[in-house]
Amino acid sequence: MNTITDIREVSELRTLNLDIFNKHGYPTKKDEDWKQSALNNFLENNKQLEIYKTNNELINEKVFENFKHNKIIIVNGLIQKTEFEGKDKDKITITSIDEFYKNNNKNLSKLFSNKKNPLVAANNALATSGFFLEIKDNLDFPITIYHQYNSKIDQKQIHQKNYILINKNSKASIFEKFTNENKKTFISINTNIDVQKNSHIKNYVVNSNNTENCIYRFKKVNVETSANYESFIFSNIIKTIRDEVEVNLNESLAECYLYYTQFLKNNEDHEIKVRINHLAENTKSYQFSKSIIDGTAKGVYQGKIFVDQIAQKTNGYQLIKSVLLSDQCIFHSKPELEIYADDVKCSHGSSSTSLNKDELFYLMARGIPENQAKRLIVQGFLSEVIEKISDDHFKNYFLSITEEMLK
Amino acid sequence: MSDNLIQEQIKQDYAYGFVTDIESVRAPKGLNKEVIQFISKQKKEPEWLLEWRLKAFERLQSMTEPNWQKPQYPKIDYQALYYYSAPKNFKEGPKSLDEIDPEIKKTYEKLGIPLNEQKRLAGVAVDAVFDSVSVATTFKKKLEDIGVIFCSISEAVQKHPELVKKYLGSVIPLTDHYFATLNSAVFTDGSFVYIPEGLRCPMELSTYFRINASNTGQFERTLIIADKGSYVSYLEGCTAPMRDENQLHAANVELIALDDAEIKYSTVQNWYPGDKEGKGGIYNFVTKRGICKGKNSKISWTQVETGSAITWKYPSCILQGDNSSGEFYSIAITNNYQKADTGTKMIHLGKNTKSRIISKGISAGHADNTYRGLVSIHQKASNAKNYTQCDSLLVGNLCGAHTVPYIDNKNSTSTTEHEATTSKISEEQLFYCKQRGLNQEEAISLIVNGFCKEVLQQLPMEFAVEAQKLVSISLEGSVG
Repeated sequence: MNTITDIREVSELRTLNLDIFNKHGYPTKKDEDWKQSALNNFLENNKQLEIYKTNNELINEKVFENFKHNKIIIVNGLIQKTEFEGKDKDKITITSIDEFYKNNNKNLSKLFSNKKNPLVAANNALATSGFFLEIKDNLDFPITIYHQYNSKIDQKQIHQKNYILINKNSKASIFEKFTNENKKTFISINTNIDVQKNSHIKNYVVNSNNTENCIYRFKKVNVETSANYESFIFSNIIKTIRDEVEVNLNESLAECYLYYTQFLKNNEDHEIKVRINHLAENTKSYQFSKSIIDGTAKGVYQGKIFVDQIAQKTNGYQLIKSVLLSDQCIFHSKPELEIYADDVKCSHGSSSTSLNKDELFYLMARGIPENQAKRLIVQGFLSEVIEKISDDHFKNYFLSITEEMLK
Repeated sequence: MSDNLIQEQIKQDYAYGFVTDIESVRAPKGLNKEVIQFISKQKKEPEWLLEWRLKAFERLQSMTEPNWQKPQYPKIDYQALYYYSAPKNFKEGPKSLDEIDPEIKKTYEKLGIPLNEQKRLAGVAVDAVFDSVSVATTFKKKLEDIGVIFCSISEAVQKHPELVKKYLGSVIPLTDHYFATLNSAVFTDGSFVYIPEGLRCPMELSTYFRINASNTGQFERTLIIADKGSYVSYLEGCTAPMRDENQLHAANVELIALDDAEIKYSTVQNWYPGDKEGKGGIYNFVTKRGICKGKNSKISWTQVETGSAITWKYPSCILQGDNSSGEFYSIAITNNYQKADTGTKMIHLGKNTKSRIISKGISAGHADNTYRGLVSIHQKASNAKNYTQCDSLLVGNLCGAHTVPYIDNKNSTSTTEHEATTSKISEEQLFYCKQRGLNQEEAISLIVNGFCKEVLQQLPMEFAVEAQKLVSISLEGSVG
């Protein structure tokens, strides 16, 4: 391990987590939360992947978006370059996570929290890279974080720990784009996000162009009073991804909105796990996910809404829809409610079905060829989620890439 | 106002908590080979059944109790239980109702069970199980005449061994899980029903279970076979005395529906729920499973669960035949420290199979109520359809309501739909009712009954009235 071990608290936390991991080992089918996970197989077959140490890496500039934005380029887990627009420069602090440990050696344990999740424990113990991002005020432009993984980490594993802090009364959009050039890699990213009072954060993620890789992303979000966390994850052309998020609505009037769309083909596996903890009065959560599954792909959605005894007037909503296109694809869903307060409104819905034949007939009767009609229906199906995105710029962006994806 | 009502509700005593004082014959305490041999010998069972039991017992040694469930309970000492208890003067089994011990008869009269055939106008045939043995089966003659076999399972083992041998354990195999295996090893009695081809059973069949002796586990086994094109509606009711210790009830129920057959199985479960501090009460760990073996067959489960300290059961349907359908209607009411973890499994294997799940959970006091269900559509189950709805109602802020559905779809032509809501009784509805002159209590009763209506409707007439009353008793006045 590298320089960070000289901070005592961190090294203690690492040892503690390593013990937890060693005791449990990799997750298996026997663990309730990992029953349907395709990650298990990958990890089972690739136990001995070497841990990669990141240094100076080359940046792939081809993937940059052409709208105006603040750039943070992270290659193999470490910041390689930042570029901020106009006044935004003064409102953003970004350092490596090591720096953060050095400057704030108190209360680090909250970044290492873990509730019996073996892969989070492994990340806590092994993470050597990552960043700390602080947003101090309303940003004029969105931040785009380019996560690039180049061929140097082929056949290796990488553990990354990030911390994003949104100071009170701030607003920001954070757009994350993942690109990957490897054959067989295990990437584990653990991100803590603190959204302070009255802040709004919009976190959009594109998963694409990941060939034979396995990504495990764990986000832990703490939302304070009157603050709001919105996230959208768009998945297309992936291999094995598990997106896990745990949102704590710690104070009253905290809200969170989680949106997902996925278009899975071939032998892709995408698993979403959500846990929302309503821990105070008058909090609201909203989950909306739509999946199109084709080929031998497998989609999994495990969503849980937990309502504490004191969290009266909670409003929790969850809707999961999927369309199965082929005979070999699989969709599992487990929409869970655990409620201990009586004055709440919680509901969930889940459906899985084939493409609507009536809709197809309607379009074909009007002279649209079958393929095009199907595409139109799929596009309409996925757009319903994208339309919910509150940031107009990104709404249009995702609508256009959805259209492109279906061409 | 509401506090008073809650107090009143808590005062409601368990009406069936009395103990009948009769002498009984028991097997020696504990679980071992000798006890199983004793049970088998008492019941004069053939060799193959004893072997079957011993095989289950052997298997049990290598199994552990499941622990994934929501309600946790203290470890059960299986060696401290009696596995067989029968009324003493019960030798051969009564030939007619006159031979039944008057004390037992009185017990059933107290419970309102119609053992006395003459007085019954409407026909419900009853098989009454007292502790471990079946004490009386009514309307036997009439049913025999048309070919329906309705008797205790011990009797069926003697008289219809070929049927029992063929179907026993065919839906719930010996090796299924801890409690099912335990039941297979030590089951004592239960009902056996066979409906011949093409017959629509003219009356409702009913079993009444009663645990009387203390420290006794009740392990009954029910086997219902509906042959091609037949129909049967079966009812089950349960009560137990009030005792401080927890008693175990681990039954196995197997249903088999052949081509075009239909089985309707209704349960009103009112075992002793424990006192208001959560002391005592029955552990109701039951395995119920039905298989729609033939095409166009149908199995429908309806349950009203108001009793037991812990209810832990998942009446399931395996939809194997093409066009078969499964239904599950459930009301689970938990109050005080009761806990329920119940739901269903619908396994779609055949083409065009349909399933429908309606579950209503109501928790009050310190209770916890969980719906846990699986809908699994296998690859070859084309055009399968499932609809699930589970609603929970919370009364007071000390209780919990949870929903844990698992939905697996592996077929692109199939449809699954699931919806669930959790809420409290809406102020608007209450206001509306009260404005029209109903008092608080009546209004709540009306709303709760309306909430459960979809399920209550599914019950046969005889039970619907009782169940409706039970719902009111369990809840009336506990909402503020």
